[in-house]
Formats: sequence, structure tokens, C-alpha cells
Amino acid sequence: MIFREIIPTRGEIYVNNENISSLADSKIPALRRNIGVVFQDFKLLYNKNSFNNIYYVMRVIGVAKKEATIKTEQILKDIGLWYKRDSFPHYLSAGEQQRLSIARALVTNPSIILADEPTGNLDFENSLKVLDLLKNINFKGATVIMATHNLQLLQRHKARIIKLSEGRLET
Amino acid sequence: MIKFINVNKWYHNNTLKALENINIEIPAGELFSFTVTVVQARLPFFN
Repeated sequence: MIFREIIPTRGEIYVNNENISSLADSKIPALRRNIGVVFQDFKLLYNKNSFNNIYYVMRVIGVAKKEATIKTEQILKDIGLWYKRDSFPHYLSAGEQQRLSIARALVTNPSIILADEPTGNLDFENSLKVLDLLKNINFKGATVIMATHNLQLLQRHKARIIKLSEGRLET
Repeated sequence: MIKFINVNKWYHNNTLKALENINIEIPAGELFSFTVTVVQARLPFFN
């Protein structure tokens, strides 16, 4: 709903002071450029290498070639995957693929990151790496919202936590 | 900032409530997690 993929049956949702429940369709792309989304199943481009998974998205949103090259390099270095820049996603571990998908979510420099079960396909060690990455993103100023079933992971994670049970909030 | 005001989301001709009266505010720059209990439709033979 924050991403305006679906709209509420009733009620209002505000993102950066704008009521997105009644947002015009023409304004949805602008909303989504401000939100980076991370999926459980990564949704990478499997016919492109790591570098181009980032570079391609930048080019699509209109970043000039030279700037896109520089930014892609910087992002891959930030997430520790620069040395895997030529590797295709199938040759990356699940943890590396998820870090790459997080990097892709950062391309538009969004103020909000939605991470939907980002550790769902990862072992505990890789889950911690992904969590650290999300914490670093938050440290740089972005709002990070993560959904998870992993209670063990949450115990190591000092942040505001709520439980949504059968549609109701349990704080 | 993200704010939900009395948000409801119902499915299946309003018989399945995915969200019910959700009110929450997430300030800008917050690190935030939520755990989810998957909403399950009640199948007739379970009732």
C-alpha cells in the first residue's frame, strides 16, 4: 500500500505528507521513484551481470552514461560486491544476490526502503549481513521498513518493532 | 514520514480482513520492522 501497488478498502495513507490513497495515477511513478523495494526472491535481471543490474536501472531512469558508470561503481563498492561486478546473478550466493537487489533499490536515492522478507531465502549469517546493510542505509538517513517472520533476527535488531497478527497491530 | 489512518484492507467480497483499523506513524529516518502473521482464509471444512 505504501508503494501504491494496492489501495486500502478504507482509510488514508500518507507518504511524505501526501495522501497516496487518493493519488492520481499520473503521480504514481514519482511516488515509486522515492521508494526502493527489496523482495524476498531478489527479482534481479538474470541475463545481466552485477554491474549491469545496477547500471541498466540507472540508464532507464535517465542517468547519463558517465554518471551511471561512476555511481554503479560506488554502489557496488559500498555493498562489497565490486569484485563480483562481472558475475551474473546465478553465480552469486543468495546473500550476494540479495545485497545486489538492495543496491538496485538504492539507485534512485530513495527516502524510503521497503524490504519485504529480505532475509527469507538466506541463512542466519547472510541475514545478519543484509540487516547490517539495511542499518547502514538507515544511518545515512533513509527510512527502512522491513517485514520478517524471523524473530531470532529481530532479537539482535534494535529498532521499533510491531507485530501484525490477523490484520491487527500488536505492539 | 509514513502515516496510516484507520486503514482497512478487505478481500473476497469483504469477508477476509487483511488489515483492520491500522493507525501508525513512521517518522522519516526510522529503522522499523514488523512481523507478520499470515492471514489465512477460513475454508468451509475447517469450520
